[in-house]
Amino acid sequence: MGNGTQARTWLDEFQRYTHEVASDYHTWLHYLMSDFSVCVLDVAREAVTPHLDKVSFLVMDATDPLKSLSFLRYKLMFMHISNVYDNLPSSELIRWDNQYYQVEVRAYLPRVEAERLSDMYRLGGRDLATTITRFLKIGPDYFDEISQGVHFWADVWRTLKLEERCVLLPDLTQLKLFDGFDGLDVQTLLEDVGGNIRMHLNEMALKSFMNTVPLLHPRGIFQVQDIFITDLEQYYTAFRGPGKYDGSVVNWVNGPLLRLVGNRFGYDVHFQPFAYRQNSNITILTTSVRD
Amino acid sequence: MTTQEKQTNKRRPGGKLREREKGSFMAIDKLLPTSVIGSYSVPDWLERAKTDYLQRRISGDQLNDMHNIVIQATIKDQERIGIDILTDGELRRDNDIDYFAYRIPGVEIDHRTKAYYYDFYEGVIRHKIPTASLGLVPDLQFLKQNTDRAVKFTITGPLTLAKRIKNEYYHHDEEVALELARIINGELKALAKAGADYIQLDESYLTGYPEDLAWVVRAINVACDGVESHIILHVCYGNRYGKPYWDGNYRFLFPVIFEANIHQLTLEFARKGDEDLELFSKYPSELELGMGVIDVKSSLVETPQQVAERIRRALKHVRPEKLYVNPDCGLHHLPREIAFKKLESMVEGAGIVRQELS
Repeated sequence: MGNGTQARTWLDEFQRYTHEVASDYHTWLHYLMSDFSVCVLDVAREAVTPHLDKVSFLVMDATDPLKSLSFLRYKLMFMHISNVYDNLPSSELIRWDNQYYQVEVRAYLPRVEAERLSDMYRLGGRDLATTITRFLKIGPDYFDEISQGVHFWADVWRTLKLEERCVLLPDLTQLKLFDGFDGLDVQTLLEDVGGNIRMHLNEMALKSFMNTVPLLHPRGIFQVQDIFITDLEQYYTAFRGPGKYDGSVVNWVNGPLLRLVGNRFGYDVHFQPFAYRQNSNITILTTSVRD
Repeated sequence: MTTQEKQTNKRRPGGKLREREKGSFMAIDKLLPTSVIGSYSVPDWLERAKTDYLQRRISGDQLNDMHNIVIQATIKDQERIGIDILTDGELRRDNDIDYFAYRIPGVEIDHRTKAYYYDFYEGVIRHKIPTASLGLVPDLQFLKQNTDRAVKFTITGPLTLAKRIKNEYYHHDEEVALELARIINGELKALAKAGADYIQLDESYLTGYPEDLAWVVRAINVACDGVESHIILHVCYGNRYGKPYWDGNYRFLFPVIFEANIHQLTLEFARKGDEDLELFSKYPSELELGMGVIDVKSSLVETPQQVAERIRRALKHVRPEKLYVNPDCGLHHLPREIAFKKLESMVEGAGIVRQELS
């Protein structure tokens, strides 16, 4: 959701426009802002203070918006999310000499670095992995001093590395993405590109998408602002993740796969460049119910 | 036929209808008969096979074998659940347009426009539509060969076909619909002759074009003229990909719909809520209601008690002998396990209320 600046701009402009055209649409407005973090919601709340009578704040599971918003199924005219899908866990699929492999990734700390961190934060006999797991649930308050907690996480993050392994898929039907969609469907996508390829499966982004589109009114629009691959050929031209960036693991999002899923389940999916900043990696996905 | 006889034929009071039906068609001699709207759950493997056929990876004979087997299984499911009026699950059809548009001479189909079986072909009418048979009777015959119960045959209505097929010849959608109705009429007569106990016209686009209702009724009457069967008109809010395509309500139907030569309206209430049931009190008639009591756009399975409560609410506005019980729309997009359980709840719920009425 960001810091609420965009929402504030939208609300200001909507109010100004409805005033200009003397309509009463503004009185009917109910603006929902959501994030998985209460802290982020609190910051955004400050930004939209003049409009608080029109705005509600919802804590939401990024992979299942429908869970919090089921009362709005088939009712939303416009939805916009930004910078969500690239942070959701993803595995990858490799086609190498006509064999298929799924790439599994795990995060780890090199032993030497782990021992150094244990000493630095005087964890003594406590297991570093358990400490990190608890820290992720509690946050910086896990330590007596919040600043110590912040430094701890910064050090862990700096040291963290990712490693991967390839798991052979003898049969693509073993690749289960969600009910009604498996590896055989993905194969139809790969028919468009020849040779070897490594691409994202973005399972959690697909899950989030599938759990968002039922909220759309039959004439509604859903916009997603993120770093999308829009053509599978782009996988041949640059590294597309996973990578550590700005405090989180980031993967580019496989746009053609998302478009295939959208089409299969009755949605048109279009991509257009982000036109508001030069040389941006961001792409805007727009989807609506298809006939 | 005198004007009075025509009126009697048009409105067909329920009692008379049942007497008349006993001669030619299978009568349902119990209150609150249950039925499906038309389509039944399509297995993943059949979806793939249909797309494979489209891309010429399997033959028509192979696909037809699969259709026959899966339709027999669908019939068995409905019988096990205890449905009174059965369909073939519409499992031979790609979607509710192409199966018919493909068979209408004069509709030019662009085969490049369809990659996945459920996509629509782009069809264009560039010439006058000649008289033709749609060849649907074998589908009905297969259904009847596999069950002893009453059967319903569904066909997409003239408005929905006219709105979906591009027209470059006729001046107005009404003209297209009337031409299509003429073709449909011949087919419905053949289906009735072959023993269709119930025939249902599906007008899933009607709620999107309420302003066209007057000429839609004229087209329906052309389609149903002289058809000796129990005629149903299904009007929903769309169900493509298991999602609604229209918003709105059913107020636009009344009272104009009474001019249609039909016996029954089947309507979507479970998902949208049943406020519009009041229309049946406001406009009393002999028209039957096929009450949608199962939300086909949700995978949550209703309880029999929920279904019973929905039926009880309908009975405040519709006489029991005029009320049929069905899902909101087709079950095409629901997994078979869910569809099965939902229909079980529907039949059990209807049974609860039937018991209360006896």
